[in-house]
Amino acid sequence: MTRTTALPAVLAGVLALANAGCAASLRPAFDPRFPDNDAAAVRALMERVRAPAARTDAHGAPRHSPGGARVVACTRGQEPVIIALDLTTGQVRWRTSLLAQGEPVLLDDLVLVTTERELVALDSDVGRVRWRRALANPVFLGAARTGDRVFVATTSHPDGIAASSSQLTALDAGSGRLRWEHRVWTPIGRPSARGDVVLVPWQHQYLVALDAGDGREIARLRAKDHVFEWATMDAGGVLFGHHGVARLRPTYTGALADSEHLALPIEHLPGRPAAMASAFASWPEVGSAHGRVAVHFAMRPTPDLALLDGRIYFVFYRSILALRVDGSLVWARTFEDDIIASEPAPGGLAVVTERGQVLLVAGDTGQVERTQELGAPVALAAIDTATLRVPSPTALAPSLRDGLVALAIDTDSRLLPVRVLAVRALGALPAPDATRDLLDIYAQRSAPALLQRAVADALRSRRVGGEYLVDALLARYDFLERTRPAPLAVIVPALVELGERRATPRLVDLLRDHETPTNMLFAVASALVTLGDASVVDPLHDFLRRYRADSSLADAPEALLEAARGVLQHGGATGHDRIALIAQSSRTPPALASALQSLLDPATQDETPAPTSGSAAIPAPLPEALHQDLVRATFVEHVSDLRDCVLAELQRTPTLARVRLAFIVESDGSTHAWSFVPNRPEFVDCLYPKVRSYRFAPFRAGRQIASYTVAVRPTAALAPAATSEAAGNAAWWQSAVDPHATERGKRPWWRLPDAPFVYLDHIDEPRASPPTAASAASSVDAAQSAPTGTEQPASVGEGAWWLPAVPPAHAADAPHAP
Amino acid sequence: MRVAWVLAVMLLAGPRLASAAPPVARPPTLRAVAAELASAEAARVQAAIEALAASRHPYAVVTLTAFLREGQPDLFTDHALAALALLGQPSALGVLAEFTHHRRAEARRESYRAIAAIEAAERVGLLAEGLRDSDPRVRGTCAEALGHVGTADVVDTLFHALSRGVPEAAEAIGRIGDARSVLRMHEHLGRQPLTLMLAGYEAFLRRMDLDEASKLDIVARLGEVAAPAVKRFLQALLSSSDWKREPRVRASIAETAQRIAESPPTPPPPSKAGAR
Repeated sequence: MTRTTALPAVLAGVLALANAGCAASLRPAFDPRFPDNDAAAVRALMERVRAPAARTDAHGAPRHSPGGARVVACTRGQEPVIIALDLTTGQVRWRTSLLAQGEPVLLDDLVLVTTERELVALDSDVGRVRWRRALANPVFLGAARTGDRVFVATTSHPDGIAASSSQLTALDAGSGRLRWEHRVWTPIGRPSARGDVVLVPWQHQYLVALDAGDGREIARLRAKDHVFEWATMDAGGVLFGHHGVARLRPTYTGALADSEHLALPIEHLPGRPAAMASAFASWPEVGSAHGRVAVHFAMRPTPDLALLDGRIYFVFYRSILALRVDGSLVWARTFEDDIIASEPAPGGLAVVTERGQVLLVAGDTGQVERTQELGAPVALAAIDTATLRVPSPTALAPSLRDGLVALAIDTDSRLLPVRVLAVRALGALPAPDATRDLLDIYAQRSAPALLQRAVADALRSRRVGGEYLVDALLARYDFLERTRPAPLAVIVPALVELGERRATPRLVDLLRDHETPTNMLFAVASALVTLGDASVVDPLHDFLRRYRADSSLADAPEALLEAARGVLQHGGATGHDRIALIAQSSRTPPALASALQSLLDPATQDETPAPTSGSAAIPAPLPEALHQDLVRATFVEHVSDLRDCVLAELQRTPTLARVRLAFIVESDGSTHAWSFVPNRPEFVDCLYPKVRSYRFAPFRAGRQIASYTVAVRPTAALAPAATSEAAGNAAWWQSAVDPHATERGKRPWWRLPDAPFVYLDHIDEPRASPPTAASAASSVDAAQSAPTGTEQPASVGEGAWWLPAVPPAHAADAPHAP
Repeated sequence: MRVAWVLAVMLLAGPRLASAAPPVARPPTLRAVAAELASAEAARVQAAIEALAASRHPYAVVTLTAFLREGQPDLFTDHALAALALLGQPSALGVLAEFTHHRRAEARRESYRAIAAIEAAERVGLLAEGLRDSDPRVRGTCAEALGHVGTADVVDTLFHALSRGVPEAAEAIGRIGDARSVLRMHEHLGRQPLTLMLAGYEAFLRRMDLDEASKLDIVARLGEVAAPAVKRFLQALLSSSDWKREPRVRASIAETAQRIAESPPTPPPPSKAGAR
């Protein structure tokens, strides 16, 4: 792109003539031949931007409007109006009946709104229509203003589609008359303006700087290792970015490293909000969720990169979390109504709610310091904080812990991802009371399985507050009082992690309590073995002795064996004798006796003769849930069944790409409720008689949904280069046998280590396949969707309340059984 | 050999059984019977348990307690608990209380039955605890038992259980409740299934220690319900006893039963006003 030409003075004159009339001359802007990243041009641009000029906000709109800080909102209802409220006085300035399509744009003494096909400029002081102008393209991208010029960007297609026809129009602010315009056949973005410069992102790769007066291009930046998703200007210079924020340096040559860059801790926030709305996206319209899930921050207008007040505000429907730049939380608040718009100001944040309230929220505490009323429900709003300063907190604010608890227990289902975030943050708090809070959150009857799992994880990570866990063990089932037992699946592992020996007596009580769920007995016995001492020998021995021959634990012998292990570990020689006595007793079933004998003498374990029929060896402790590896193993055993039926289906449906089977597995490995995709009768008739008899590995949890997916034809284009050939050549059933034959080079997201905050992809789209799973040449995407290390069963139907009622992440892509 | 042993146990078990058995030279001692509990043969173990139950000897309680605590297969556990019920010795309450927390519901039921059979002050409290059990059969067993051995102290708990849906509590209340309990019972009329309430009311009506006014009140309340099931209930009640001692109650029952229609009144036919 760069092209420098040194021309003799004579030729320069000729070229000047050519510029005036020849087709070969450079167009005034957006010409592909324009030199980019030219050092002199970049320096000149920065000087022009930093020169004292009309102040602009982070979006490129003028910050200091004549009328001061204000809110302009579009109301809902039969007779929509636009209301302007003075943020300083709290008074409504004006109301104008107008059916606006999009969010107002506040430009000094103008308020721009779009109607169906028009751009309407209202007088900012009185709300009167100053001028109207037809939109050049159907999609309004945004507008900026400097001096008496308004710059409007429109396009034929939103979101930067390559085939867009875009237009940048400079209008007279007073009359709306056209000053100049550029039509571009590639995507442009929302402009920003300052001084005599207009900055326009172009094709995501370029930043085009134009002279505000005549529209000439004065500089062009080309990104080589990043994108210009948005750009704006302030007194400190040019800001641009995508996930983070960067400030342009004079040494910019196209690399992000040439700029000062600030990474924002927002990548793992629910909803994956961008640091700033893409300049290529259409301007927020009525009914859009814009503003309800968003990140807000303001930069200090200085040459360095510093956040105003050091705060980032994350808005998620009815909640706001304030973060520091290192990602740590300052406060969390939940509001009564959805938040429509927010804008940072020194000292805090101005917020417009759906009900029409304007709140000034203190940045340090999250307390609402002032409430103003718009007087009507709001659909869209724009805020100019201008000279506003949010008052300092006047009252004692709730602590971060209180805010997180309030958020975590909120029953608004839309808030679930951010509730999980709150639970994680609670788990990281050093206050011991946070442990109790987590237990209380878990005990909520309405707590979704996802939240309960987050609580369980958070409790396991706690290193303080063990006393609350011990106290929680006192909770018992009581039919009359309708009390529920302690959530042992959460508490017991956490106690073990904490090494909380004070729990031992209560664990003994639990071992003796018939209301302790059978599937928790192993965990309780194991915790006693880990945390206990000689005092636990008698209870463990009694437990083993009492239930060794009883049918109640015949299917769960692992708890008995764990008790025996505890007696051996803590009981010394006496313990050994006691176990030996039980092992030799005629009352002890042979299988258990054999397993006990193995414990007594591990050296002879391998030499122990295989039990005869009727006295099968005690199996190893069963897994809590049926993992996808086990599902795959069973299908691999029967791969010929699948092959026959799928080949037949391929004859009928040559375009068949994937086959998916979903079913419910009971804890004994039996199955029912099979469903098939495709569900053609011939295919189902072929496969169902075969798969219905499959037996999967038994597991402890009650039942779960499982699925198995086979990509019938590997998609070479989507496989990594190193393996695509192998994958392309491999028959699908070979892939089914060895999914790693086509393993992707990149680790899938669900196997990545924990992020600083939380991965929430599966919350946002619980039924979606992993981002790359569908594209992987591996034919068993479902097989790989199981997160490692999870032991949570995918309980369905009437399970115990403390088991998750919703399939966990590893079963999230399984369809519902019919 | 086994047959001879079982016969010997039967001889020991009681005169009635012994009279049917051929004479043996010498009955085994209790110690010998106890030793048979360790037998590998189920029949011998069961016979030994029965023999110990029949012995009525405190040693049998000690033996069966140790036997239970050793851990036994379901059949032996349940037999031994039933044996402790037969023995009815307060010294068995300790092990029985332990077994009210056994993981198998049937073992818990047997424990509660045994507790109910032991005349001790603690039994009512233990049985009341059983109403908190997660197993409805266990709760039912305890409620039934409380109806037989309970005291006025436990009526509140039984009402609580009734409101939580323990059907057996209604009859238990009818057995041990007083006149005030009748009034409390009325509060549940319409909230609990009618058949359940009728069982409770029947228990009240059949008692001789309940005052006549309360019984008349019950009949009057049932008359207000006026369901065919109530009519059948009152008719059955009338025919199952001569009510000689309570002629006014009898008259009230008869009059109420007669007043209640055989089947609920049929709704009037739809108006023809709108029909063409």
